Amino acid sequence: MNKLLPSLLLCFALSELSPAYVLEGGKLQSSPTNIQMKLSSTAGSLSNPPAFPLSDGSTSWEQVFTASANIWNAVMANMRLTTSPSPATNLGTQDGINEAYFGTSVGGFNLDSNTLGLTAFYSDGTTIFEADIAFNSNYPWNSYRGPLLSNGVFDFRRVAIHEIGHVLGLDDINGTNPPAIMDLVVSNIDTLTADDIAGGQFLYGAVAKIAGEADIENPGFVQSREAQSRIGLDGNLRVLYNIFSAPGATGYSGSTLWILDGNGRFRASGTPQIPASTGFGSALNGKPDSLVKGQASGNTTVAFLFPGRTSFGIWTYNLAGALISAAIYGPYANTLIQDIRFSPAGKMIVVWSSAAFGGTANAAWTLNEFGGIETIAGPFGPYAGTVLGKVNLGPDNLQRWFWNSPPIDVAPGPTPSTLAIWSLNASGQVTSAVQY
Amino acid sequence: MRDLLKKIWFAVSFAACLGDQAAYSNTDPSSEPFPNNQFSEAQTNVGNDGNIRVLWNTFTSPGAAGYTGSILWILNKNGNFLSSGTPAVPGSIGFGQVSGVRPNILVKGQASGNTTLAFLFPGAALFGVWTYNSAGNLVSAVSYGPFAGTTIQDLRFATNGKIIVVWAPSTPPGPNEAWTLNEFGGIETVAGPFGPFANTFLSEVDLGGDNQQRWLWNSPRVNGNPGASPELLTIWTFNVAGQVTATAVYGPY
Repeated sequence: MNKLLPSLLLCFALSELSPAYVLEGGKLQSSPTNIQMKLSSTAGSLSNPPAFPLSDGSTSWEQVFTASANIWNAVMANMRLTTSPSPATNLGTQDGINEAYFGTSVGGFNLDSNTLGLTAFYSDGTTIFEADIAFNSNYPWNSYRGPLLSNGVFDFRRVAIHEIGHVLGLDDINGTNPPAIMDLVVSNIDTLTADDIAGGQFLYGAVAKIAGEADIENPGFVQSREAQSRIGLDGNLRVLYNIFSAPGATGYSGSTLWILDGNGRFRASGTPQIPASTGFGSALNGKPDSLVKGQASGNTTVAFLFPGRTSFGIWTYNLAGALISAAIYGPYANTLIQDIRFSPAGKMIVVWSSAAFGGTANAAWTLNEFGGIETIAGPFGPYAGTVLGKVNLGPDNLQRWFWNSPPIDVAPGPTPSTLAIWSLNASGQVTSAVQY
Repeated sequence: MRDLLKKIWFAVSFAACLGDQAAYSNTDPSSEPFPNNQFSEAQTNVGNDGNIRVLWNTFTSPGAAGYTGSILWILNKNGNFLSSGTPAVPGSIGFGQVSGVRPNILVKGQASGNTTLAFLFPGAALFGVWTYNSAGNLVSAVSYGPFAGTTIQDLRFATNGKIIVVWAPSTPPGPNEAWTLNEFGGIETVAGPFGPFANTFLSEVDLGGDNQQRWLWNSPRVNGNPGASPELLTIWTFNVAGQVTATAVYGPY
């Protein structure tokens, strides 16, 4: 017989020392398990609805909730939570459908003034058959990271992570030793801690992928050192996991972006993942040509060089890991990408070369963090015996072109006799030229 | 990795007992080959102050033969000449063991207007830092190394102009150590030595805008040619005193 067991996340309660994660006594038995999101459809009940996008850039409650589920997915081997939006506002109980919504009651239990969220789940002690989550519509919500706001606006995401933990079979911890998102009391902990991960992995195992590889090494001449800067301009770390079907870095099947906080703790994973068809360029050792930049805005920009170096793509994820823009440029006739890189400020510079690598005419683009073109400079050239050695972007986001006559950028060759520096404005026009 | 974690905390305690004592002693430089020549950072010719830096490498004959030294030029944002570095960099400095025969000099234009050059000496066992002011005058010069059984695994500028130096054993396995230096070559942080940890390799040390180091460990190694996929990624976060303040372990997957 199923029994109804409510789990509560209370705020303002006093914390005390407690051991590690606590189990509810049941777990989900089939994977994937879906949670139907009736969040936007019930958000009309919110007493203090926020403006969108939310503070972390999320454009919907569903986006935040899905990202929260993905945080758990990233650490579990044998369970994958899926989510689906629903426009319905009717709330079912014991109907076999897992639901999440805004309201003030669930399964006959009211959310009192100290309760941010409540999960009602139906279990026989070993199997959780259904779980429904209610987020208290009387509270002001947003989605943000870091310490709780002093103005009383609560972070929907960390509460969602907590409630999803109940769906998985984790109980509240009454106290934060060790620190845990599953603590009974909402706190400055905004994502899974080691204890939460241990709990999830106890229930569902720790093997999540066939093989993963942290993209640490220099994958070749295309990927500039900027790509190695794992710490973004916002202070968070980014890790790009390249997934292979077999050990030995063979059978590349795609990449997963992880966004970690400044201490390396998991915050979000990029959704969707990067498919193998994207970003698998002509790099050294068969590794994908993906550049990653954590932006000051909190977004993450991933740039891909496609095979043959005739086209490139830019995907941008927000801090919650949701893909918010995607752009592809090229191919263009007889044109190759000579260089693609991020500037220290997070802009992207793409240098095109005509005809073939080392070709004679060049163009350079500056793109913003969403892949939008800000500047197109050129084409300029050809100039006899002269090669565009580099295009650099200054703190003013204006391009400088460095021409060498003859070329010096490759293996030792003739000493250059001439260096020419062009400065361009934001419209791509040459505003000054100096030759040495 | 559980063993590694235990060692992490042991190492932290050990380092705390020792304070920031020098980790190495002077002996013959290592012959460990350095994997790269001029880093991409050196190619960033627009400095944090908006001015351009150009490093001219001078040779006695065409074909980049007979390297005799390098001359720093400081140009304004439009490429107009402002000053040249005095003295010039002699050929004996910054001429590392690289592929080809180009000098190993990194250049960074600092927000202060100064220009910092970092040299990797032959054998990758020691390095030097020279700093010129905006008028081109050399205002500081320091060098570090060689240290017994040690080679420089990485030498680079962070975006904000700090220098990161990663030391590694010339004959692995052995410990790693990472330094953070300011634009004048002054040591701000010494982290380590840590390790060795079985089948685990320090793949990267990165510096955040908070000037705190992050170490990324891989188990097993992934830095070389395609090999076994790593099972673990471990991230350590340090404070500016070089103490580990947080660890995170991901995997195995």
